[in-house]
Amino acid sequence: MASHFFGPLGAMERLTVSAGVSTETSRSESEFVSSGGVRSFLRGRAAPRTWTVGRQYRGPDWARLLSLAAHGLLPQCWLYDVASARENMVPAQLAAGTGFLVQVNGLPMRAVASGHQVQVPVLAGRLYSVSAWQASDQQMLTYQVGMDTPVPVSSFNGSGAGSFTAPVDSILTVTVTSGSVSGLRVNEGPFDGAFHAGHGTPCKVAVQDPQRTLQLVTEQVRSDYQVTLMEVGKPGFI
Amino acid sequence: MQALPQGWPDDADVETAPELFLEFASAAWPPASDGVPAGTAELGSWSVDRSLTGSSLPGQVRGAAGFSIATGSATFAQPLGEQLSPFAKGDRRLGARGACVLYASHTGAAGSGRLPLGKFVLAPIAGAGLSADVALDLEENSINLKRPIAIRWRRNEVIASRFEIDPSWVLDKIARSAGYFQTPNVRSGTLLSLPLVGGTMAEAGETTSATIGGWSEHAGDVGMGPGGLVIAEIPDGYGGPAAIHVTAEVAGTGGEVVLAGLWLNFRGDHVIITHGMVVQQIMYPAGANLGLARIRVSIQDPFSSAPTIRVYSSETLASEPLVMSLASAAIDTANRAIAVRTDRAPTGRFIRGVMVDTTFRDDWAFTPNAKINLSGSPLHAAFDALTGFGWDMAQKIAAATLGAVWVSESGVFTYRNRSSLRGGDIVDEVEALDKLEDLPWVIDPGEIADRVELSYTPTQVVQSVNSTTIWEATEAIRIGPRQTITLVVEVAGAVNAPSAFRPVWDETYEPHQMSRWAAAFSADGSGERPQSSDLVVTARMVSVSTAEIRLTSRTDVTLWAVDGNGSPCLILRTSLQVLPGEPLTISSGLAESTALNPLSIDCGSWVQDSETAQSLLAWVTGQTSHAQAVVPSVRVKPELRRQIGDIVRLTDGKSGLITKALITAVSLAGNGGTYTQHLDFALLDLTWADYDKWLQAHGIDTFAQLDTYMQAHNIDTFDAFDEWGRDFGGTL
Repeated sequence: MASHFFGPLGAMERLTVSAGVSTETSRSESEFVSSGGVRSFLRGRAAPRTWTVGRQYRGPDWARLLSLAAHGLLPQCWLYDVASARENMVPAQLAAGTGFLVQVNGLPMRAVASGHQVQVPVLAGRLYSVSAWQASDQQMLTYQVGMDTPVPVSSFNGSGAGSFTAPVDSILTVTVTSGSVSGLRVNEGPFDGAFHAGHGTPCKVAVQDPQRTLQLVTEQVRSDYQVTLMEVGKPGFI
Repeated sequence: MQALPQGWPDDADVETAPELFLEFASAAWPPASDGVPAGTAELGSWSVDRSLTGSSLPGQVRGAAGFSIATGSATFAQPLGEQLSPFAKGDRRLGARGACVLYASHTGAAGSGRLPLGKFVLAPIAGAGLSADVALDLEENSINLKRPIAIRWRRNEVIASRFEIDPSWVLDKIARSAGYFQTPNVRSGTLLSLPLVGGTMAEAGETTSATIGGWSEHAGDVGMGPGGLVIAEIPDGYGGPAAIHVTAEVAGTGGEVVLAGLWLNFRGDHVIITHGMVVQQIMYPAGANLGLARIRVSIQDPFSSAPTIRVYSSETLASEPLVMSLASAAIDTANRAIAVRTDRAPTGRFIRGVMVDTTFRDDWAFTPNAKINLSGSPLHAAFDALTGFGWDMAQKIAAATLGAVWVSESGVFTYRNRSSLRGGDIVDEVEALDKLEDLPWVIDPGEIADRVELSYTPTQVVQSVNSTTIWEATEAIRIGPRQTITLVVEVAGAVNAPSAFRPVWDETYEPHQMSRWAAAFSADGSGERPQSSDLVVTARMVSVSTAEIRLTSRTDVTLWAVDGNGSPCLILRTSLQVLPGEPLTISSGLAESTALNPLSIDCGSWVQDSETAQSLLAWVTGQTSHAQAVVPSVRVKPELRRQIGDIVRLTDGKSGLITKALITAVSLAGNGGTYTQHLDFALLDLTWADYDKWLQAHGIDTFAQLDTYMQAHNIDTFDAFDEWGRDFGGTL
């Protein structure tokens, strides 16, 4: 199974990478220490990620799409991280709001406003679940796959979920319809009753030119590749 | 302190920084991206610096006069695709664009929770082909204030000894000319607009006479205090509209607006409508009487004897429409005079912003973008040239009245008078140990003056019975057959009304009284004398020192305005002339010969009475008798609400300092999502107002009680008294 998908929306291809992919995050931070030794901390809103991925001993197909993207010959490219998608595809800052506290799988999180909307690109043929948490039993959101009819989701005993499989690559739109909902989650696979922090995947990326170390030239060509992908743009916007 | 928008997170030890946006006025670039609409840029690095400089502010006693121009810089990312540049096409083509607004938001670019950080104009924009960002220089948007303006006014005060205007009125005129309004602007359909913010002149309509008991301040806003009567005329009449809407801003016990026979008595919480024997009373909606309330009385069918009255406060209709049954028409169309008065009972009257409209104004959402305090220097007349650059004039007035003027982050034209600048209410607490990175200080011995000189211009009021000559013709004027000649003449000082013209041979008055003319059929004055009715001469003041004289011939023969000897004879007289006197200098401290470090302040003609001059002198002497410390540029735990001019309580747990301090500079710099804030503070001297507050708070009414207090607190030397005084400034 591929661990990542890469490419323009609607034309993403598998990206198989060697084990040991590390995700670096960079959040701007500012620390202030007063003359009395009181520290306060100011953090930036988002933490853009950088991935360095590679694969040893592969043919030229591996880097085809990445090279084109690095040259700027493709529309905006996206990176779909399967591991993150199984946890939560919603950008972390859009999964909760600034309203009153809601128990989300035992975590105190703040409610988003009614009307809050999140869009997540999804891949064809895979099972996805949309879930959220709310104390009372009532409808809390609708989800819409592409231009299909929106499907309502209600909560029961604190949470609720709906699942779907899209026939083609689509944009999933989740619209919150109640004022006491928190813990928005879109994940690959069935809903397991848990909540995980959002990862904002897939996300827009900038690609640096793949580095190539030639290993073999016979009738086949084999190289070691390494490429750096940088998250760009504002999470949650397509 | 700025008010935070709804939903802004509370102050906390760990905070998430807001996003910073720059919104360009009527812009296509940068193109829309990621939730940021076209014409708005999300900023990368940015900075804004604001500082308040003002004469006799602590730390700036000898500095230049007082205002703030904010400057800043910003960068934003080049959009995806084709770069923005001056060479690109369509919406990618950068032009030098005018105005922009910098704001912080926790709810995105399009969200409602905006905290403004300044209105700017773009100074140079720079980029490079390989650069990922565009760099902008920002300069405060005060273009309107830098335009030349001319303020015209007439003296309307009918009692010679009274002071008609306050310099804050001139500031209001400057602000209005640049688009900053304390009271709503004139619109089409406005018959009369009397702002009454320190002056009696009408913006629409014409003030014909005024008696001012004194200007008052209500929570920092200026209005007409008790004892005032301003009469204005609507020049073109009512024109028979279906409704007349009378709006007034009232506080305290309000004031009265009288339209012909209809009396509208705006009180604190109700309006009393009187016409002949009919009296009706309508309460304002609850809450409208808190603070300065804008109340509107709409009169449907105002020229009938059964008008329908509606009273509004803000958007709320106060009551069911009231149909009055009157003996005659509610408003007499022939009577064009409208009076605004605060000279009748009860006490505590306050009214301003009186407007009479024929169309209903839907400007309930009007929020003033000017806040101008009463300067406290009453004037008989404004003598300084009222032409020039608005901003320069505003600075001069601020300097002469020891106040300060600036345009705030939210784009509010602000003038603070000297007492609110130094003795205003504390709006924030700053504990150095918790909020300041350090507590640096500077004391400058150059701030101390051993002699203070202050010069001002007292006025000379010349009062007579139509016998003060203000202008005389120096050459013979020829008036052709049936011709009208208009002369515009400059007179000295300020004159409210010229005396009527009479021919010199008219003996109804003494020869030295009234404006006079003589005429002859020949230039040398020989021959038969014309009839009194052959020439009609009228005069009026077009501005305070400009008179217009019209000579209209009623004969078919050429006339010459000369006397029997052929000397020019056209004399303009008045009953009341106010002239600037010789400048006076008052001083305190050491004698001129022994003073080492004298300080002189020139208030020009913006101070005209000795009482104000003495109080200014005492003020400056107090400020400069010892050097006050300033806290220069110190990094603080950032809070975007802070503004220059804020008065804070500065405490330091380490040294035991408790003092009032004025924020004199705010410097913000941000990069990649976080930002830092540096502030300058000026420590404030105690004012008598502070002292009063303290005495009240401690229930001290007698000297004996004060003695007991001092003994109990070991205050037995002057030094100890000074130290105690400095500390308690912060404890109020």
